[in-house]
Amino acid sequence: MKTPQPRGDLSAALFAAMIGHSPDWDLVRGVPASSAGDAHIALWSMYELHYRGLEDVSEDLEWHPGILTVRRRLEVEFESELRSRFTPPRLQQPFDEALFDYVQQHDGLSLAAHVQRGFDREQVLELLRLRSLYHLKESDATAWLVPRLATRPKAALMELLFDEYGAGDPNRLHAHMFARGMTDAGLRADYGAYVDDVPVEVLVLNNAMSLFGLHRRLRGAALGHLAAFETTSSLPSRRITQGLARLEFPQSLIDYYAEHVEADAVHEQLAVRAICGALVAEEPHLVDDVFFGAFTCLDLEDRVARRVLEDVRAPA
Amino acid sequence: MTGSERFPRPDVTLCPGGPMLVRGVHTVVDDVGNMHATTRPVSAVCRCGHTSSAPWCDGTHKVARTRNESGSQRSTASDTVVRTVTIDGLQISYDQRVLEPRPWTAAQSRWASSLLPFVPAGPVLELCAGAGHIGLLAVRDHDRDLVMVDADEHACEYARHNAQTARMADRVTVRCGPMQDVLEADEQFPLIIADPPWVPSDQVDTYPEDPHLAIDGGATGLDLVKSCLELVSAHLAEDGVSILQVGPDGQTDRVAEHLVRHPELRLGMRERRLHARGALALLVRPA
Repeated sequence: MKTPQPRGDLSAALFAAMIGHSPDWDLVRGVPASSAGDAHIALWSMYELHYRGLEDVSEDLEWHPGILTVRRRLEVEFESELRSRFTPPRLQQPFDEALFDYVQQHDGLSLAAHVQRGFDREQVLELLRLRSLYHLKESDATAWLVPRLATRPKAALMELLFDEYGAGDPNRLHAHMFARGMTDAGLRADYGAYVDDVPVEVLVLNNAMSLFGLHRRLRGAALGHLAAFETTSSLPSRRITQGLARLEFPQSLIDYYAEHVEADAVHEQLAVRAICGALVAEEPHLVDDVFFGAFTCLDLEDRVARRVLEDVRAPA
Repeated sequence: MTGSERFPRPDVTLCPGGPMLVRGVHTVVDDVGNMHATTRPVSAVCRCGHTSSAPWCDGTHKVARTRNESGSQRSTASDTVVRTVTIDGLQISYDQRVLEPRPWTAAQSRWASSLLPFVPAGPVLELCAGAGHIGLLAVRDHDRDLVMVDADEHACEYARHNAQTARMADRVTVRCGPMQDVLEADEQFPLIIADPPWVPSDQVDTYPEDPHLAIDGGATGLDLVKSCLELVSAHLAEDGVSILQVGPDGQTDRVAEHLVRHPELRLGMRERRLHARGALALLVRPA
């Protein structure tokens, strides 16, 4: 994919520098973001250099000090905003049960229930476009964690990731299953195809995963995020399969969500008990960060859901 | 830790309250004789019997789990499952016929609790109490009685049960019925908590998990809010305060406007606190 459309002064200056031949990084460094959308499309595009890259940006820029200076500035603000929303819970139970309950008790809006019963075909297609930003790189941000963990959490994480990545079969790699479903549903399955169409809430959700995944310091938050994500997937995925069947979507897309009903029923146990449990056994000071990551996952998903429902209600 | 110890590596793990994890390649025979081959490195076999993907777990045990833990009974309604949540250390039971107690609403309890030392003597009133956690939490740390009112009999049942669990039954009265009917004309309360439904009727589908009656606030969302304001006006003691819960998105503005348009209510809004999922307003008698 190419560099996305800028959404304000900072992303415009940054993208010009990323694409240009003799960029003035000092100039870019001084440009303030004109909106959250501006800041997050900039951050998303800089993160993209660490995933599959942008066709019109030199690969040399991945670790360029000019990029890293801007990235750092945005990340500091972003992390502090995320932390300001979070209050660490007082744990009155064993860690595993506390984490399961914490996620269970979070009061979130359910987009899956709308897909199951209420959304029409166009609304589901729009949701798939928004979701594609993550699903086409499913688990990739978590894979960055592997070398940062001690033996037990590392083995446990690999056991989960092996399944996410198809256990050696490219056809069962989750991101690829989603891509096939997208194509069969008449959507574009190329990486980042819809980035220019997504609301800022979707960029924020994706940037949080990259932020957690790219910083060793945030390994607790990254794994807490994983646990909350897996723990809120099975039952909603079932509802989505029912909604997709109701609207006669192609079987490949239904299969993708059906796979997540069973896979994530396994993964939630592994993520909470084997991965996060082993992590905090090795590094007890990370307990709060695990809950921070879990909260952030739930909170940002909820903000996306709220935005989607607002857009659905708004007259076109 | 030496970093080189031998770790346990079970082939089968029984997850507390959850499935049985099996590692490796297996063939599972289900209870009607069908064979199912494992397809992934680790598989989760259902142990609760409620899965729709037999023999594999689909996460349904989490919906049924709290029932087993709390020791409560399955209700007579066919798929009613008693759930419990712990909010600020208080254990609250409810089921899907009753509005789920939301953790953020503890902010209303804490605010009320912080004001209780400064209001005149007398019992606290909670209107539209639901499962009762807001009122119970508000008075828990004080020597005050609590009167809870709700029109729904299931909610009242849970409010009584939750008061008992909290060992507060001796100072809690639950009155079931339309709120206009269950208060005596001359009853006065120094602190009134009001949690009316405030979701506009055309948006109740945004909350598919909630019982509609428990959240439907009429066309503008403010029908029951206005009824609550009338009762607060009638039953608030002089020098008393009331904390009203309404929705986010400008509902406190509309309540403030309503109070200005209706000076006969003798209520003013002194402070408002906005939360992501709702808003709280402190109401007092105007000077």
